[in-house]
Amino acid sequence: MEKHLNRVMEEITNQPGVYGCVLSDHQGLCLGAHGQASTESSGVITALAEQALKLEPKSVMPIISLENDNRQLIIRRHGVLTCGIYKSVCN
Amino acid sequence: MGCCYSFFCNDDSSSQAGEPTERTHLLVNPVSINTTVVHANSEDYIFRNANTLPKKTDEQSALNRILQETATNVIDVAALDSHNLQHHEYLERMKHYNVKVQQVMGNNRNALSYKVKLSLLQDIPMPEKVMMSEPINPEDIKLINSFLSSAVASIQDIKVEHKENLVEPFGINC
Amino acid sequence: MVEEVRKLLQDILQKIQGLHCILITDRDGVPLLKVGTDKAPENALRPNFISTFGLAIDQGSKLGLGKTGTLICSYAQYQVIQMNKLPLIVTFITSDTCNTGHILALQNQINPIISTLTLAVAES
Repeated sequence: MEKHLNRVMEEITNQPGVYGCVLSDHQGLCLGAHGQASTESSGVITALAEQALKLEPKSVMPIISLENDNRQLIIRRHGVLTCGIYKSVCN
Repeated sequence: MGCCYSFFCNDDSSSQAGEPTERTHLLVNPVSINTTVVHANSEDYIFRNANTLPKKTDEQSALNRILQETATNVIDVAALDSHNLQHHEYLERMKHYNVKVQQVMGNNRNALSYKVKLSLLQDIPMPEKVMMSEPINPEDIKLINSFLSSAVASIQDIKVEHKENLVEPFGINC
Repeated sequence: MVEEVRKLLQDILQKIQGLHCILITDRDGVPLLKVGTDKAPENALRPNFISTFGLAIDQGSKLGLGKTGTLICSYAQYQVIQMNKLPLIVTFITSDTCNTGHILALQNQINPIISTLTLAVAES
């Protein structure tokens, strides 16, 4: 059932620099979180994706990137799914 | 109808310990502290109790305790709408709370004020530097896109696996 | 101070699309703080509707899953999300499409308000 999904999340978290990922549905409820990502963040991630889409309603789903000095969060929505990847960046 | 029995309640008591609910006894029953209800043969239990000194009341209170415990463990859906607040009581309490809330909020002004901040963002020095940085590198775009597409594919896999009967015949065999 | 807190709640209300009403009540559904838009259904604000939560979580705690924390009721047009902060109950009334996860994430934000308001109930 969700084995496949867990494997996908594990694979992503094993990518270089990635330390966590989270996946949520259209209601902001968490479908899965792996690594150092909290399940509570799923609602906020969905909300961010929704708000960003409002900036350009006619274009395709935007990719959102939040950055500070050493970390990055990348968000993208597709259909009912929203995913977020937490990455550490070294400048 | 509308009631089912739960066996798990004892595990739960730890998590609710110390927190008074409407089920907490105001007066502690002195007998019930000493008698721990064993889930053994109940006749045994009564017999054992009968040999000890204060007979009748002990037995009675033990039975009462069993009855009470069972009543607490029953999930009673029908009892859900038994509670109602009188209208005048409601208005009175609302007025009372209005005053109280003003008071409490005023007293705790210091503790609250920095948590009630509306904006989490702070000004940054030299915004040009941030503005000029690369928006997002192509590798990250590839990464998120591949994650999203494989996630969408794996979501299709999620479906309910039917394993057990939804309706269990309850208490027929034993 | 009450006004500032009310403003914070009002601000949350505006930021989340589809959120109609935030209601902080005591166990019997008597409101301590209430912010809402006119879209909030009147019936759902009635104390006997809200106080049912207190009774429902008592029964729910017997399921063997521990203390009930949150109750989400999904209706055709509305969602009612209630949080167990006893002696207080926090009720959110939203549209059916509202971001439920976002509402749940608000818990951290409103916790300091709740702990202060708890004093108002406890002292009485």
